[in-house]
Amino acid sequence: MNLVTSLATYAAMTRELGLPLRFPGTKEGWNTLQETTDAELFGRATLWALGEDKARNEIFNVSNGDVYRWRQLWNELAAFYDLPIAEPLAMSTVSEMSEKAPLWDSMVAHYGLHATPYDQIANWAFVDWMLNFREETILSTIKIRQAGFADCIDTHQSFRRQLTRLRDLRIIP
Amino acid sequence: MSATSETPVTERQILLVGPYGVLGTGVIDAVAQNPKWGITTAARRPVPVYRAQAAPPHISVDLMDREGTTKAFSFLDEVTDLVFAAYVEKPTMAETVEPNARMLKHTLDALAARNVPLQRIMLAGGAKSYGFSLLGRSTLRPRRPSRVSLRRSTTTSKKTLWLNGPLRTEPAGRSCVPIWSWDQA
Repeated sequence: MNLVTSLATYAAMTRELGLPLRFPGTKEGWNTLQETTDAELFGRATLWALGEDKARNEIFNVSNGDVYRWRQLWNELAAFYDLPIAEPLAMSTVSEMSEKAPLWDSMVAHYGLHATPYDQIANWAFVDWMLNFREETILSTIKIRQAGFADCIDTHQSFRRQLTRLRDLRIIP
Repeated sequence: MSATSETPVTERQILLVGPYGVLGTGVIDAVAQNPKWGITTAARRPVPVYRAQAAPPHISVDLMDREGTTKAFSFLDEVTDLVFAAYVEKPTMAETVEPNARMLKHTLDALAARNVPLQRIMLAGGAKSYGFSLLGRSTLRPRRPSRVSLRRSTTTSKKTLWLNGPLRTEPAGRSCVPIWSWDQA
């Protein structure tokens, strides 16, 4: 499930509505320490695991190598769409966003995007889930690093790069 | 059992199932940067329009369809590495297990039927293996994902399962045909 595409859709629609970019999750979700895994980093870890003898029959965690908080990462999304940020307000994006398909369809036409159906461009239930963690969810990556996979990426850079790529591919405005 | 029993990476051929989700896309991008790996993709959906230009060879297959999967994979005789990135989600975790296990089973059965020179299998589990999806529902105990074990019927080597969850491989048996088989425990 692509959280970045969903969040970019949320931000682009927010801009279209002339609203500030509000974090639609809880204060806890805004503040807790999280981590994530860049898809391409995962791809490189996959090739490493397939070719590395020490990876046989083993289980590894892989993640970017740093941690993030939404209250910091949210700035990247706001900057990407040149939007001011609004304070967190816990809401359900499922109920707030699900009925806005006509707006998305008009944006597809207006910006000349690939015609991704609204129910495929964003997964609001996933957004609600991902922005509301009350617990820190950090997995140890010591094992894969000690086995020889040292690759890593800055989460903010990863987020910016994915947003840019989605725009370049004309998936989002 | 040594690494030297494996085919060199330059002659390896990946079958990537579920290529255009988040994980699959990452693997395709990594292979594009690392062209010593060969790759073929397989999915129910066609290659997305915006990825079509640089897409590796693609097989159209519905992994829920056993016969169709066997047929679709019937010419894949050179596959050495399976990366399993297919995933379907159902309303509950309990309902999600069965179709995903079935897709993996159909894939492995189809490759086993061809006796392809499979050396490694990579499964990605995400943090679900740790009960990640149960966060905030502390009255529930974390679910253990289903176990998969591979059994090779020669004594010379094992496969790799790279799996974010419980894993077991079994030592080889003695018979020679087929070269490998697998069990779901």
